[in-house]
Amino acid sequence: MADIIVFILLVACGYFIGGHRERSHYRSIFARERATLELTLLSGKAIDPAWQIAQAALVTGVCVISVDYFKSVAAGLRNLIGGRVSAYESLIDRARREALLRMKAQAAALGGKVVVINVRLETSSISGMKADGRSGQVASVEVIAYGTALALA
Amino acid sequence: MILTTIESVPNLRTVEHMGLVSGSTVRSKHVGRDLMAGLKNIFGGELKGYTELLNEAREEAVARMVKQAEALGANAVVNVRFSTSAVAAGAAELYAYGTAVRVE
Amino acid sequence: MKLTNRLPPEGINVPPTHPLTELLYLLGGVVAAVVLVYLVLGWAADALVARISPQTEGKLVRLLLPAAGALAPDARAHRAPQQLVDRLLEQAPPLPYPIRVQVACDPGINALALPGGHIVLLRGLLDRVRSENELAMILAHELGHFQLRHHLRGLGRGLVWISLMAVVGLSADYGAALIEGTGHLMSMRYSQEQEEAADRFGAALLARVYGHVGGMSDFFARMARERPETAVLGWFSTHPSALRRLARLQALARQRGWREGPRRPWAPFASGCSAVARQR
Repeated sequence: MADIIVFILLVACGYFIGGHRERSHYRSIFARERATLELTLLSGKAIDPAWQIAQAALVTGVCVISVDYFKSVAAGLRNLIGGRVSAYESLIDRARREALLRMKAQAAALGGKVVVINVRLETSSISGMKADGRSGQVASVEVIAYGTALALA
Repeated sequence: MILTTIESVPNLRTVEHMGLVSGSTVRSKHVGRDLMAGLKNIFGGELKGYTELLNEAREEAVARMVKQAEALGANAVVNVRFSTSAVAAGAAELYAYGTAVRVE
Repeated sequence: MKLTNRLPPEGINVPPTHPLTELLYLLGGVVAAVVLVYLVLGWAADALVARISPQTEGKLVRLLLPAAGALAPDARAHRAPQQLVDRLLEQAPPLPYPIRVQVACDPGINALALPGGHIVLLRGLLDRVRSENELAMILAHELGHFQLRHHLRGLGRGLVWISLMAVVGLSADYGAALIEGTGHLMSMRYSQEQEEAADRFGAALLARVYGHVGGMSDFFARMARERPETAVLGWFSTHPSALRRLARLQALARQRGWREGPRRPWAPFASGCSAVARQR
């Protein structure tokens, strides 16, 4: 009986607190995306000959976000039935956008009009202990975004 | 929607760049497929169930990327790249990203 | 290179489904699947077990299960209950193996029907029996389990369920706990149905042997009074609650037109357990 109560408590914790953190994180992401809209990201290597490049630098942005208990449970059940794991989709969306925003912040530090070309994204997951003490894969997403920032004169 | 993994679309002129677009998805297969995969661990061979899973994930990720590009008014996505990882056991996460452009 | 900067709309990479509704769908789906599998496997296991002849059952069980421990060694304690069972057996449909009654020094209040025809009465139960009719009802209930082959059915279902759990547990995670919980609940329900069927058999046998059903529900009524927690704890335990058993037995007596009658006294006897305890 105690197990069930602890389980429900963890799930409620995950749902309310985790949900709140996710919503506030998304609000911050929207605000920063609107603010840095003028800093273009391109995934190609093409350099426009019309550009006058004052400086070129490698810029990176890293973000690691962990899953909350509610999402773990939902994903565990989804593993039995199959289909889209929508709990994790919001997780990697957030992580990816956060990593890109951090890369943009590093690029903006170059000053002036900046374009980042050859943007690449890599994801991995980090394993560790689970919330209820069992060892196993903690679902967390690590995204690294990197590219070449060109400061245009 | 034209998709390429090179800098431009051959024979067409790139008129406008709209920036990075991406599509991501996380998919899972049901228990039955996991059991089959477990058995295949003993006998060897292609894990058709999981191949199917990755195919579905790829199609969905590309479709989402294309949807984002369309919403920006682009008609092609160049420099498309894929990235996969295992976020959770038994679930495949895949995303596709590229630069949305308008070509003519 | 003309650069246009616009933000793509939300909701493409993260579809706007509410997480709680999704979780409820998933839970409902998994629970429904488990219930379905349990029922189907249960019928299959029952059908299979019905085909095992009682002689084979006796042989199988002597191979698989050793006798329960902590039995009082001296024969005097067993004799009186054994005589009672023999009297009950005269009026019962014949069983293919002899029924042996043994007394165990465990202070629990329970009686066990073990495969192979062994009935084990725990000392806590014997000390609380006040009339012969009460003990006869308990023994007749255990005979009902043997007659309806409950112990083997439970074994068959349990084996199938455990092997399924082992297979699912390899791949599932949080889902495994949910599946096990639902399966546990289903098996508790099933076990309660078995207990009620054994109650009905026992009551009918009592009516045949004594000509009346006096004392049939005395024990349960007393247990419900003395230990009120067992009166209501129905859903999660293997036996139905004492109140429910009382109600069912009384309804059955009214339906079959059984009468009340005098109780025969049951002399409390030395089970020899305290001697065993001193020896330890």
